[in-house]
Amino acid sequence: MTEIDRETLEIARDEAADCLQRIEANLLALEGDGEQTELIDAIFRDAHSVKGAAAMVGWSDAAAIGREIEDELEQARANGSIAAERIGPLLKATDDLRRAVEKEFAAPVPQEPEAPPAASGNGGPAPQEAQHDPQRSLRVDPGKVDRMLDAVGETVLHHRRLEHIVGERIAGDDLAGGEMDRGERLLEELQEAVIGMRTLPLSSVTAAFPRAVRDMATAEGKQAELAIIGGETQLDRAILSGIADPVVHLLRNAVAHGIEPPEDRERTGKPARGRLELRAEQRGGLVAVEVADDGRGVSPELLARAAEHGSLADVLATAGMSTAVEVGELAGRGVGLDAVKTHVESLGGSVEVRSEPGAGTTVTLLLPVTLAVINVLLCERDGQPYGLPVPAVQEIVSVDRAASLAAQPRFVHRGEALPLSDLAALLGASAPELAARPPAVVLASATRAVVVACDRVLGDRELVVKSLGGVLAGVAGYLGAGVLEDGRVALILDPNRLLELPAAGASEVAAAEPEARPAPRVLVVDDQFSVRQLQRSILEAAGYQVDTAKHGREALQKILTGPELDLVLTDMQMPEMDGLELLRAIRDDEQHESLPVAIVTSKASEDDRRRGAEGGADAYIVKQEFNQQALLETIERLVGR
Amino acid sequence: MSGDYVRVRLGGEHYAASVAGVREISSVVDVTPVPGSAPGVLGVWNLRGDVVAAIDLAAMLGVPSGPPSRIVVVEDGELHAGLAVEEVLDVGPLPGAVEPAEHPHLSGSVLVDRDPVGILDLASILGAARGEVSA
Repeated sequence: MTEIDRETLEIARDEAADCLQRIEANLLALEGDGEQTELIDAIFRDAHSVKGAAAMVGWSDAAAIGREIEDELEQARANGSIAAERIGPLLKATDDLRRAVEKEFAAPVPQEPEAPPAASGNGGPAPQEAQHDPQRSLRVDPGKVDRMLDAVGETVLHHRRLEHIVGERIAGDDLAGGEMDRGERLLEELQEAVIGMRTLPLSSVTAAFPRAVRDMATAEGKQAELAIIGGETQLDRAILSGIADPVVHLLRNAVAHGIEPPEDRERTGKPARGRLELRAEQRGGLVAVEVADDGRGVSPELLARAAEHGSLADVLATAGMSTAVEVGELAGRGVGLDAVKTHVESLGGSVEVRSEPGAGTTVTLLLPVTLAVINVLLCERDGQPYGLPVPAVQEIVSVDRAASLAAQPRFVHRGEALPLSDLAALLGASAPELAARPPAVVLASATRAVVVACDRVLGDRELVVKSLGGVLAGVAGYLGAGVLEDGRVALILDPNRLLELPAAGASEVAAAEPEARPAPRVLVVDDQFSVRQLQRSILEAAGYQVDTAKHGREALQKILTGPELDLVLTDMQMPEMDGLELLRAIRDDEQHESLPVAIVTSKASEDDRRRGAEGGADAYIVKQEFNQQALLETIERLVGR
Repeated sequence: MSGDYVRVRLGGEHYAASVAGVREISSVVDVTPVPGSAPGVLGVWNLRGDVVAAIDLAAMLGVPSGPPSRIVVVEDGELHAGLAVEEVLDVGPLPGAVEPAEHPHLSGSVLVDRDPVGILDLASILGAARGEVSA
């Protein structure tokens, strides 16, 4: 018997407790005059979850009771109602289930006698109790860590506000500026360390999975193995405990609906034993957790329906849809993906499904690494700042030419006519009309992309995510809110919601005439890729043509041999040739001596400024996350637009 | 009427909330509107780092009122929110004779100097801000 680690059991127990609490509340609500079908659906899903998790960790009594409740609710679901006299017995069954979970959780975990003890460097086998040594690990109430993280987040914001207030006054004071920078670095380190306390590797919840997959397959007369790849990938504890259950759903679905019986597999030339993979990897600011099988895949009809109605995930998640006929202990009855999708979206993630008939299905959960801090792109509409999670942002564009299709505004981006919306109209807010050629954000998931226009793009920020609070918790479309350094509150938008909504309100943009004058050409010089891309985005969104160079030498090459430029925007410190050397080279060249050059740097040092001015720089811009409008204004002045 | 009440003014009308349900009184700040929220919800604002909903009390009660000057932060169970009011008048006891007030957001009314004062039903007001229809 494989050892299921205590942590997995604790998570299963805690989740069951949550589900049972909801089942109880919803059963009681059924006695009122509320809408029955939604409550029945909710109870059914929770009973299904408890049953599935219990079966997975080997709590057979709890699984059996869970299944009874599920069966009764399934009947009620078909009828659309439940008899009032059944509420009592169901509440009693809920109590029995709670007791069964507690009893089976408390039972000692069977240990495999020949299990190798954990290796500990060269010191030979470590004693079993080593992992509980209080000096090596410390059990802390997660609530305390959360409070600490919240306090650290506030301290980071406070530091930014402080920098905002005193930054101007201490410009040129290298000592004070250096200490401010040092404070920021220390705080970032502290924040990372605290976030690290909240993260655990995926493997902390997967220990029981391979055995469970094997058992599930055997129960169905099939053969299957599970490989776990990337188990060391770190995820926020809250997200991890939130996805353990969805992953169990997916594994169960893969075994029940994906993997074929051995005879069928051999007939189609596949190995008799089916292979499941649970893969995790970091993708940019997100973690992708995938469950893949090499089974039969979904039917071509379903794929055709998915092509028509949006994504395969949506089609499969349509509640009540079932792809298998048997109802065994482990068969997902079509509630699987619906519940998975709802759950993952509530964590700020999204679900994607790929499938090839005959070859298998892959379900991908895209999740934020942490729930506490989120990187957003701030966009302003009607004076209000809105945050869009950076991972969902594909590009910032300028809507210089809008088209329309079936009377719906479109923006042609990379050869595709994407739906174009006004952010305010999309949210249902009233706002003055957008200006001509507004900046817009291309939001994309694997299956969909939309273009959302706003008044200004303010740049990217890291925000501590706050809940909108109980009063506004029911308002759809927001992941929460963050406090900006000027004290204002920015709503953080749920990109999944924006991708789903029908396009709205950009018809005036579609009518806007493109300007006849050719766009000024700017060369961005910086050794950091991210800085080049960010500046390119901002400038292109403002209607400039942008070229980039990695250092002064490459820039000089482009200036001397490339198309005529209207402005050079350069960093100070760079390899090969730095900003000052580039500036001197430009001023020394007869043809380009009057080419406007703006120096952008993170240091507000008086010394740098003086040297820049002496070298003949036209403007000196201090990199600050919040002065992108100032950057654009400076550039507009220099190119005389 | 036992206990003290915070008395507020909306236009020419007076209302009161039990101090048991009042957390603090704050001055009016930048409120960020939340598109899609229930009618009568002004938006959210930053109360010392906490994001709190602000409710337009005059709109909730259907009372004509001038621009708000104060936000009364109230709570009911787990929920809390700010009620924007034109003026906070005073804090003190109310007279005992409570008349029924025929409004879902009022639990009754009393007479102070021959003027009626509506007693706010905080649970009903916060419920309406959540989008619940009150009975």
